Amino acid sequence: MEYARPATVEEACSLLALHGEGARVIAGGVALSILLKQRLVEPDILVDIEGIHSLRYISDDANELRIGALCKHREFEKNPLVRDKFPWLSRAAERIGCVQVRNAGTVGGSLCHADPASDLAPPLIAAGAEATLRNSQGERKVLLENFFIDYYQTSLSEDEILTEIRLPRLSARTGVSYEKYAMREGDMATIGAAALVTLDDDKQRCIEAGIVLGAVGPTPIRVKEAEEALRGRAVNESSLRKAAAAAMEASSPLSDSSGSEQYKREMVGVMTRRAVSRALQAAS
Amino acid sequence: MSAYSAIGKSIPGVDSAQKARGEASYISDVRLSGMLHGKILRSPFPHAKILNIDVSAAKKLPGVKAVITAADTPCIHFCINPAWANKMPLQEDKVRFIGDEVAAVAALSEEAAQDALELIRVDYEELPALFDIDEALAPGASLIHKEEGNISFSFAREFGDVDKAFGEAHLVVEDEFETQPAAHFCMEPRGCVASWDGSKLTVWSTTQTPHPMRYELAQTLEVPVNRIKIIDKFVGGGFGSRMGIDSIDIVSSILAMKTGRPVRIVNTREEELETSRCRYPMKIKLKTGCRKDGRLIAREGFVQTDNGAYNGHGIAITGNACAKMVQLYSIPNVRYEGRVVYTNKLWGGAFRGYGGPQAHFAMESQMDMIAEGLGMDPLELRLINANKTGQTSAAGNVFVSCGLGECIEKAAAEVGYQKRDELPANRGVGFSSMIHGGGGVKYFYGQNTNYSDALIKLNNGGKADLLIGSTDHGQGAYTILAQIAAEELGIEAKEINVVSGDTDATPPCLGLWGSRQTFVAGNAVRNAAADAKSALLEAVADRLEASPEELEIKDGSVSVKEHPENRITFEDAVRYSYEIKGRPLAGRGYYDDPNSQPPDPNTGYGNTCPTYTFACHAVEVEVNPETGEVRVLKLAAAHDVGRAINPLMVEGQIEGGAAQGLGFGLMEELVWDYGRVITGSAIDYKIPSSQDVPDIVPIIVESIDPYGPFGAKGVGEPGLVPTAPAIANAVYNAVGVRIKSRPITPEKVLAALKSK
Repeated sequence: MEYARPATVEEACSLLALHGEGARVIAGGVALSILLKQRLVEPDILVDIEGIHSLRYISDDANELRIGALCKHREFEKNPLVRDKFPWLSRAAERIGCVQVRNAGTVGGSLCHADPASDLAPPLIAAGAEATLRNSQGERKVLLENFFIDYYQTSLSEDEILTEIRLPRLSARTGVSYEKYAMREGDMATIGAAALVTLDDDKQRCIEAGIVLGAVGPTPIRVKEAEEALRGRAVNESSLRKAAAAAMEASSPLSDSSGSEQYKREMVGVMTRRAVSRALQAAS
Repeated sequence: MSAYSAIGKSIPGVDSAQKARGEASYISDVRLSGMLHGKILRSPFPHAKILNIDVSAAKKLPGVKAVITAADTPCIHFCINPAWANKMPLQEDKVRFIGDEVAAVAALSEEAAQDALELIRVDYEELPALFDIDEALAPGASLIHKEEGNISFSFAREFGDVDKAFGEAHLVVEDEFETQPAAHFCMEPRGCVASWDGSKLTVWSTTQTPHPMRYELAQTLEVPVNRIKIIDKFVGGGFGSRMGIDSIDIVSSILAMKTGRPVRIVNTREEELETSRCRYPMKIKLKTGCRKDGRLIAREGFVQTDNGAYNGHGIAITGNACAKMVQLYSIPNVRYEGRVVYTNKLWGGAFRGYGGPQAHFAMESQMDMIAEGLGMDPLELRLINANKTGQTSAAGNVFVSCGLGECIEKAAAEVGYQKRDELPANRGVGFSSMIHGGGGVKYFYGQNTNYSDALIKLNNGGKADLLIGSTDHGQGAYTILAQIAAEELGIEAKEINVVSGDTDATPPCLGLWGSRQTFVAGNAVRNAAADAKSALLEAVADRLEASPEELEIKDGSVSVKEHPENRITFEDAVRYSYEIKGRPLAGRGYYDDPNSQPPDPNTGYGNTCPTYTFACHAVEVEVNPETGEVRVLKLAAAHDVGRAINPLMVEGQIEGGAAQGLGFGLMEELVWDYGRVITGSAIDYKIPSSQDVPDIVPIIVESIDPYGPFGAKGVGEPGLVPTAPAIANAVYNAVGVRIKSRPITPEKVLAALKSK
């Protein structure tokens, strides 16, 4: 296996173009190093993009938050800008693994690895985040919601690199929340549930809603039926119950050592309720 | 002011700085010139005949130096008790679990060895596989070994007249409990590096029992003991899993002898979870009868143990689980039955508590149920029935020191037990007692022994060397033994150089197991120190113009007791002996407890342990009624340790044990799907992390054992024994649901809450 450490995005893209499916991009290596050790992935060349320092930033720019793909989870968690304006995002980052993992893992790496249990994808999708993908020819943008295709698969082409996540500034009276169920602190999510709630001027009714589940299907799942149950209505016991039921219905969890399918589906309901309630609080 | 100068002090470990600096060498640090890497081919089937093994393609792979199968081994079964042995280092004609050893390779790199494994062709004929006790016992079930009905062993004992006592009972409570298979999850995976120079085999190992391992290797390799040397100065955790040899030790030795080059085999974490012998899962039926005043008068237990594929410790551990039923409380009439059943799963091994954690989960859960049935305070119920110093159990166990009552009262007080009814909703307090042997047991390799030996050299020009035949797997044995020697010699622990980890140089010792190092090795060390001391006093008596009996060593000086001003320093006394008297100084001591004996083969009666240790854990929990999650908010762990030789290390042992007990109570479980482990990684097999462990308050109770060194008893295993039942009782107190199977997962709690 070869190893390359390009200094620029252009250089990295041309390496990818040259080697095609034989190449794998590595950044923090949190996920990929395990797959390599287990021989689940056997690339011809590893393209290590950690040296591309221009991809490591967080900036507040013209009503949107721009996050470089090489931003570490820990930076995300600690960044004053994120903590101040997007506190739900730094709280979601806080729940990723342990400090060592958060110091190694990158936002881009986590999203491109496309483990459905990612803690970042659900809240980012709920908040309407967009990913910028680049190759030697140029760049394209894709809604994060459409980025994930299947277990560990994304719409990224062989020659593309995810370079940036853009998060639109949220409208007034909007709250976002991410709730996670796991048996232990620091575990991957057994259930992840993110919610976005925007209230009307009187803070009586929900005028915009986003519900996204993690870890209970091949990709993060946006539950439109749950959003419908909230949109245009007061968030009360009845609409909450409907939203939770829709989320449970949309999920397809698998039985494993963290719980049976049935238990997990029930927890989808509990976590969805919690996420919506928290988002509502933040919006009020 | 303590009468002691070296013991009772919380000194840091004699090897702590070395470990903190990363200088302690573990198995992964062993890199020898020309070393090959070994890998083991394991069965992909839970139960199958081996029809043929073709290794020709693997042998031809570049970099491969040897490929072996059973035909290349002496084909000798191994087991902790040779009478039970039915496992071979590499299976010859049949495999009995997924992971069973079939062939092995030594190659220039781990990758080449792995590639070679993939080239070995094994033709199997699959057999029906049995995955639990009921399947294995079903009429017509296929046979895993020769024993009829897949029952490896069964036994029954009765002390007193149980039927009569049940007839007289005011209340009888009967329940079934179930405990899970669990992994040791040592931070250092099991490993072995073997090197053969044509006449001598040197083995770097992660064993807890270097001298017994040397003997077992000699037996299984047919090489005399004096041509085998085991090196294991530091071991990164054992908890029982490194007691006795395993296939990798034999296989790497054979590969080394075949290739003439050192061979290293170290388990990956996945192999460790797939093949490191687990805690035995048990199904326990327990029936207890008591009088109206709370006195327990009758008990009947039936323990069925899932032995897994081979005989390891299952028979002894089932026996020990049963024995707890007659030991923990003073019950005059007890009957129990044990049954050990083969299944096509990972075989079990020794694990901290040796059956005790399983039995206590049943016994101590039931104690709270009895208290409820009687309308009695569960704390009072336990105090009424708790053993006391001087009592003998119905089975003959003699409690020469017992601080159980004090443990119960102190642990309960620490978590605010008396005010538990005032707690907010969904919070509760529970506790559990425990008993365990505190100095090994008269039963090892089926022999009537429980010995350790020690040698001490007093050096001319620098204090002392202490030679011991066991290792230290993190619990602090080196430090404790140095403190005991120092106390006896009147010098400081840091002035003692602990020599261990080389079976050629150290005296025999049965090793680390049964919470025996402090008690048994401690007594041996004390005897050796006393022997060295008397040699020194004899040599120096004329210099101080007194008889040896009139002398003492204190604070680094030898002096006349009646005239303390008449003294010389310890160094000068030693120098005088060496240089003037021409007498080098050494002492030897051994200990093999005189007060215990194996149980009578006919009646089961006997004082099996030289002493017993007691504890009580009390916890406060909060249950989330939406998810079923149980959070332990506080854990108080009171342990009767006889005397704390080093309180800091005793607290460390208690805290470590309680954290592991919390894991067993709440989350740890090996899960197999048709025989394949699905909890094969650190993600899926859940041990508590530092963030899951609550505040633990260790409480040391000192009952001063009459036979322990300076009154000390072992504390290695007890730390985790009572934690899980304490949690179960607290959950009941919090939300009124009784979980009778471990671990107490959120899913079980939620289901119980719903069906309430």
